[in-house]
Amino acid sequence: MNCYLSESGVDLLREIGNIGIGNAVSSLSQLLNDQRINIRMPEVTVVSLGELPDQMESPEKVVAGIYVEVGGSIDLHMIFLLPLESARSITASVSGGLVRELDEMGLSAVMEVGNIVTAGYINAFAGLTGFKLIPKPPAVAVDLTEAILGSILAEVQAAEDFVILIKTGFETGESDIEGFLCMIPARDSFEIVYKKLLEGASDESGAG
Amino acid sequence: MSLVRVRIADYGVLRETGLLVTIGLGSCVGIALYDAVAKVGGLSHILLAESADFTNRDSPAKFADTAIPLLVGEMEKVGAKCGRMKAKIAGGSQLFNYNNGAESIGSRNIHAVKKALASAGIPLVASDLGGRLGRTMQFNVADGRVLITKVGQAPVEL
Repeated sequence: MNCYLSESGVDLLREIGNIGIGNAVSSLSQLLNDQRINIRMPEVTVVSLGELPDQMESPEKVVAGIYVEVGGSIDLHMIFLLPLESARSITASVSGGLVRELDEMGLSAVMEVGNIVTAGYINAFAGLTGFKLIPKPPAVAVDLTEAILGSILAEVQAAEDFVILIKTGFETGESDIEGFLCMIPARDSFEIVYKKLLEGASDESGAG
Repeated sequence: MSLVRVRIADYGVLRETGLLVTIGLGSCVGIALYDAVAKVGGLSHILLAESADFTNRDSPAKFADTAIPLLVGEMEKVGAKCGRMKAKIAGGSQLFNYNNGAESIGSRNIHAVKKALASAGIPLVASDLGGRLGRTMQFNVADGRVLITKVGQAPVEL
């Protein structure tokens, strides 16, 4: 379905995903008492809106989803998805074992972790591009993956029929926490990134 | 028995037997239309309210106002009649807690669906709308029954 993403565009987004998740996971590792966290290879796909939930391996499972809208130089959407068990483990870990359920307190903790992790990703992205990226306050929900993603697509008024998905994942060895961190750039945003990082680079080398 | 999964911004039509299923309606709305005489059922999963608000309208199944005429047309192709159709709808919830005071997307979707049903002259006979939870809709085309499930709650029949 890579109808308009070139190979170099995919490589670029995969690299952004790599740097983003690396930084995000180092923030998460600090929150989890320096636990070792393994990163999965970023996947870059162009998917139709209907196919988006199937990219998450568990469209019919209940997950905790944290959504952060990012504005500034470009518009993009960050989605952090955690299986329920992972969300509970993270909550327990950051609260020193005080909060184990996803009640109001638990959700607030999950949202804060999501905020820190997505900020790590966005900061890396901003550092790489020189863009000014301003995250809005996070929102959290616990529901089916498909309901969460559908609501985000509706919330952003997704007029396009396809979105670019940069999916990154991680898992901890000992505590069995896993999750996905996804970035969906607005379509014109992708073009701005592409121009800045690839065409800009070739212009400079041409001038030199 | 055949089972057809209806995805976001998609629709499905079955005749006489089978299940039309859409998983995880958040702020989206699921629209089940049924002609009990022809035993033709159609299910649509809309994402957005009004197509007029957008320049890209390539996918009529995405918007409430264009999805319903599309679904009615497809059902008529297999023997249904618009005048005999009845509607059951579900969804339009608000999963994320935004406190910006604006009307939620779910609520806008619900209004647009009701308006589009009214302009097609299709009576709305049952609904399960709003709230904070996502819904899954199972539409049995043999008898027109619609089962709604929500996370952590007992199923409801429409």
